[in-house]
Amino acid sequence: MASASLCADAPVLMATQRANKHILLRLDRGRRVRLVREVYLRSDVPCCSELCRRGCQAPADGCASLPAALTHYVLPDCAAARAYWELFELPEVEGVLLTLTSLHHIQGAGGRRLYNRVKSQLRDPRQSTALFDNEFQAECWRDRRPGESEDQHAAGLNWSAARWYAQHLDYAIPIVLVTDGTVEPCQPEDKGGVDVLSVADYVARFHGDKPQVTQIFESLRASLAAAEAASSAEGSAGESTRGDYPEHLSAESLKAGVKSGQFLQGCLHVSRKSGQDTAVVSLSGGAQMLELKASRGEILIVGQRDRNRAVHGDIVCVQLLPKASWAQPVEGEQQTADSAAAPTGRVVGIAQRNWRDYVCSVEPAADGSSKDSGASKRILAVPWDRRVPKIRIATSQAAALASQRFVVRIDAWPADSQYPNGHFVRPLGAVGHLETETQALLIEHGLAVREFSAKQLAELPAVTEDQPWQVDPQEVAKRRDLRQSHLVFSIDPVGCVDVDDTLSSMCLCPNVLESVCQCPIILESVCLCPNILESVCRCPNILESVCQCPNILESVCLCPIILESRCQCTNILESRCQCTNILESVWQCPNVLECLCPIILDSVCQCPNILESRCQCPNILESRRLDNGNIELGVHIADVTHFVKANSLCDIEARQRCTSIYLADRRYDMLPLLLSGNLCSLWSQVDRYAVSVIWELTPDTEVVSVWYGRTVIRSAYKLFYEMAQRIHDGEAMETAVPDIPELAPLLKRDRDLLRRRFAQLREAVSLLVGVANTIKARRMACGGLELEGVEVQAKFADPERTQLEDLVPKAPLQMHEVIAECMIFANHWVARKIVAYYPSQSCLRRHPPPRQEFFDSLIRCAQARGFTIKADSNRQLAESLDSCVDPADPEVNRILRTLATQAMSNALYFSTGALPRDQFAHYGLALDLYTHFTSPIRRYADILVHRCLLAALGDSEAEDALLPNQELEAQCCLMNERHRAAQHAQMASMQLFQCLFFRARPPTDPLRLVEAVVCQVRDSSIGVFVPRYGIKGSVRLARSDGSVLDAGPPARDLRSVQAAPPLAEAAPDGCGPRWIPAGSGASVSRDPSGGSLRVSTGPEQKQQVYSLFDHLVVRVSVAESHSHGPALQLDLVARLVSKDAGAADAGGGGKADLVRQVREREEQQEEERRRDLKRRQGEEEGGQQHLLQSTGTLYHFLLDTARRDAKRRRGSGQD
Amino acid sequence: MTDILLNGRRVDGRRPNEHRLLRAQLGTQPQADGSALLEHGNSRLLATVHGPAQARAADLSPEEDCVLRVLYNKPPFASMTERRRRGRGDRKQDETALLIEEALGGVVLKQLYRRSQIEIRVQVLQSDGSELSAAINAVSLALMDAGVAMRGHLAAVTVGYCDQAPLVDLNSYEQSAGLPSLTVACVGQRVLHASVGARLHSQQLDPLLACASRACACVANQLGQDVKAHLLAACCFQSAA
Repeated sequence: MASASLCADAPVLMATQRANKHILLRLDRGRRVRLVREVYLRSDVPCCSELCRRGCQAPADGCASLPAALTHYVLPDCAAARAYWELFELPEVEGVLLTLTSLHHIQGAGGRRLYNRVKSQLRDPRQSTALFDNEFQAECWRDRRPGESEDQHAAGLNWSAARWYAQHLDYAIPIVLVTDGTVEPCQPEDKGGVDVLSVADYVARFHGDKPQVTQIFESLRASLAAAEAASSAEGSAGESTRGDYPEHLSAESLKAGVKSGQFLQGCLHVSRKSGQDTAVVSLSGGAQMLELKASRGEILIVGQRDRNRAVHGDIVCVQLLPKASWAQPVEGEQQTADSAAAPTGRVVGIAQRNWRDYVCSVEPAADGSSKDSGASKRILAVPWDRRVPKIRIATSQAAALASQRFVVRIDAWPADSQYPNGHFVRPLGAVGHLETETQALLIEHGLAVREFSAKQLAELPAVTEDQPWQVDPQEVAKRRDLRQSHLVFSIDPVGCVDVDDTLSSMCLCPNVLESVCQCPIILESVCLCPNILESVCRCPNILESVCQCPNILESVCLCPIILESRCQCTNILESRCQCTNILESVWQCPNVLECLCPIILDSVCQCPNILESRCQCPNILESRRLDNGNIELGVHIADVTHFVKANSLCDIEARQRCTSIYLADRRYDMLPLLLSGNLCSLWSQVDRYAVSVIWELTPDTEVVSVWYGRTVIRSAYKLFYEMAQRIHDGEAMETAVPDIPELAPLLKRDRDLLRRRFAQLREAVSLLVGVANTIKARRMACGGLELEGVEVQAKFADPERTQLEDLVPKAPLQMHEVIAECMIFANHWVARKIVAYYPSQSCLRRHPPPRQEFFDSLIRCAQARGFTIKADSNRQLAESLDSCVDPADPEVNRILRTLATQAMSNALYFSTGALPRDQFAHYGLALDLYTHFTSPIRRYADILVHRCLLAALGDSEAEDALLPNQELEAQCCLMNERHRAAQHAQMASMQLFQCLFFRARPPTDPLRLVEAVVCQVRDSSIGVFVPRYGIKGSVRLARSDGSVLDAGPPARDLRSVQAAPPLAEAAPDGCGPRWIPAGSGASVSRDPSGGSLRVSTGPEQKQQVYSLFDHLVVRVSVAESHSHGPALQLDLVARLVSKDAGAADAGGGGKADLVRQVREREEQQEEERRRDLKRRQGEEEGGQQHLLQSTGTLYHFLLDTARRDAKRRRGSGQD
Repeated sequence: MTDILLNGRRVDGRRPNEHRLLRAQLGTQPQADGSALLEHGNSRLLATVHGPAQARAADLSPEEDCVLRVLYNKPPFASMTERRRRGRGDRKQDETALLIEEALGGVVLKQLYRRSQIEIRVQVLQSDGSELSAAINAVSLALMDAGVAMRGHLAAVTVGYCDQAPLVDLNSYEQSAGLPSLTVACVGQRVLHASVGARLHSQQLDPLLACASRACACVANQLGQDVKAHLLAACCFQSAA
């Protein structure tokens, strides 16, 4: 009885009762060891219930306790907990009390994966699941009686634990002991306030009205019964050595084999295209054999038998096959033309299963064989992911699942089974519905999230309409108050509700406005004139000479596409309107195209353009001139960590989510809306907490000093990008002011004040632009890469930003880059600060330099067009990319930039303790240190960095919350993974919308015919990019049956083929493309250089050549798939007359030919321009639809149609 | 092999700061000059002391004229899990013996026992972790029983470090997990011996040392009571006789 209530630190001797427990351990190779472990019995075991009236200690850190407001507590017995744990994982089943006895049973009999899942649930405070250490409670323990089996003993322990618990809580709440029924608890007469129920009874009685619970219970029961039936059948049949697959080796021998080099370990990747047949194991580090160097450490696995039940993503051990049986790699992306046999192996064992939840559907049966719908039936579920094998599930509701998508988990894959066994978890909805498909996307990318719970929301301050949130004077006293002293403003996209960044800039002595921003008006006029700019772009010499001025430098850095769309904005529309570039800027193409690419990811992520377009912008800027002529620039970021305390429920949730997820039509926030849309949104004219970085800069923008800290700010203006640009461009006050809500009321009242205020604002903005441009120019000079193209911005119909109304091209205003540069600057300086203070535990972002060989294809492609690209350093790469501009074809530059981004690796978060110092650098931004600091609302990394910065400034609370290196590194891995998954999901969601859009269109719709550019050449197909829709896809030129596509003679332009009939109806001798069956001499062959694909359509006909940057016309259609969701399909309609690379086809015409072609093109453009003008005139009185197309809101049109269509279909489904 | 700490307690139900049950009997082996049987949780050790007796001349050296010799034996059956047969020249056992010898060198008043030899034999009957510290404790008791003069009560304890918290008195499960551990033997506040098992970060050393020396005081206190009880019993026996 001693040792209770002692100080945690003081060592104590145990003097309590002690018992011994005998444990039977199963070791490898079937050996069993009996060992004895002490059990110290005590009376002060915490009961982990909020109902406890006896003063039990609170449970230890990281362990949940059971809430008081529940109808009952459920205590699952050993077998019930092991077999039906998924039931107790559901959020609907609350108040689960797990005994230590059951936990030990799960550890012993349930396997490691289940045990880890149980433990993580126990640790998760969001779940109301508690662990009761019944074996250490003196009154709950009894020794095992002679002759009593282990299971009987465990059942007895659970039973006495339940009784003790009921008594301990004074019978305040019913305790339900749920038992599987395999072992009868030795029931004394006295039930002691405990109800004993079987699992089925429990579900029926307490959760009968919750379909989620009953469904999963039914499914678990069915799969258990099936497994039992299978094992008993096997037992009766004796040893059925049919064996579809060889047995896996034991973990011990795998480990030994890997160590000795006999086996190789790596992660299994299955290709999406040939998932049935081949897979690749990419080896994880370690000793790589010499012969594997050529294949980049990848081993081919051919056939299901050699794959031996491994599923995509598993960590497997592979044995290499003898060289004689090595196989040819399938159509490789690498352009190694000499297709030598690749190292081939077979899987001998699985080191780690990485099974997750799979979205599945059932193939529609040919005949309606669902007579026995009531009985449990085994069906094959086809996963949405093509890389995953079919899963056999036992279910009693096979008929109901027929047209549904549902979630399935794999249980096991026995050696004698062709398919893995699994069980049904929950339905998602009918196949083809928008909602279902979106959920499927989220689950497949591992992003499924629950709603924020009431507990989490309760942690936030209460805010109502009538009582808006106010700053706390005590808190204000601790912060630097910038409300009066600084002019702070934010620049956001139109309609932005939540602003998390502001700037401030103030000009005290405007006369000193020198070198920074010379004569903006002249520069602007340069920018507005397309001719000058284009000539500047084309001629690097002029460019060089003009480069001194940051403004021009900056606009030159942009590719001509951007210039063109800028031209469009400034009403020089007529000249350029017909070209696809403008239309394409409507689309999200570069975004979708490049969002996987590292640099863009980075500059996009740090850049407020996107984030603000997505509606959250936590940064504000300021800049002002000091009396000594120096400039003060400030970036103020919403102080999210003030509201989200470390290890609070919100923090845990955000740590899990890592990032907000933006899909085409919705978003999933990382933090509750109250924070992102109100408390951490730096609205104008209200007081808000911020974390600020304030620099003092010399007039040449050399940093004199930096101040970091917590502040209180009041944003004076909430400007829009366009507005800020107008102010900067020198628009007159009279026209500008009515659009500034903060100033508009003054227009009628006090014109003097207004004039002063407006002048002040203009000074501040101009100063900001000047500073940012200089900073950027300096960074660019160090080799900063600029790979992004046009961005799109989302427009929302309602202020709550729930309805995506439109996606409009972001006119690439100077202001966007100004803001982006300020954010990069802030991130960089914060990174410097935190690394100095916490060299081993700060969260930074690095971008590793790409491997030189990855640039090979880029350099080859550029050579095809006569450009040279040097990729030795980021600076050279940036310069040579800028010079690769083909005036006739802007696509060339874009595709080259895309290839360059593909060659790069992803930017990554990392913990500074995990890497040597020389790997911290950011290649794309050309900075030695970089981190993410400016968007704490939507990225968890920023929250970590905020805490780190505050700790460096001496905040003890933040210092306590710092993660140690290892935990931080684990969190960084999770963040990287989640960011990538979120990007993939966003892309997939966009594709889904595109599919829905095209599905609704009739097959002959002219919108389906679009121009495409060849951007990749493969063995029997070509990869194309459709600029207009931002789609990347492949066009098949040969089928698997050997037939080859004859494209027919090239067409002049898109319009000339619009009348062409769809492929299927093409006349055999018509001008359209047709399939030539195998055997007629047609063949496809790739050029040895890999730059082009040659199709010879029979002996008598001449060859057709597809090379990079060729223009084609393709038809977009939707390939329906019941199991895998719809996908866009591109079919070749015609080749377009090559613009200049067609020289190969024409036989090399030389200079004269080139001149002729250029003239032809000019004429063509002229003609198109005229036609366009005519069309526009027609449109003015014509249909709305056409107007939408030409003014660049086609995306809106598409989304709208898709949504309407989905709604209609849903409606009809309900009818 | 995870879960050293789960739910705030260790595998056997102790809190991080709790030492296992300690129980000692002195004078259990009448044929030896001094003996002690120590129960340390499930660990059980028997220490016997033979001597002081005249030393062989060959063992004596000019600077060291009192010989302490420790023999440590852990038979294969003693272990809770593995049953590994060890040869006679087992390095690990020899090392343990040397460590004990070293710790005793600082506490036995050797100058009182010139030209004599004290032989100490430690027999592990059952082992469940922290054997070195248990052996030191047992030997210390046996020396008291033999009436060998010492500076004070030598007590030892093994502490480990897990999840930012010191764990007092590791059992075999915890030891086999490869935690950073530290065995400390103290007389009063003076640390006579400290040895580190597994890698220990220098930042963790100070808190661990502080914790260990406090635990040693606890152990000395507990064992001192057992010694007193033994003395009391002996006095009663003598007076009754």
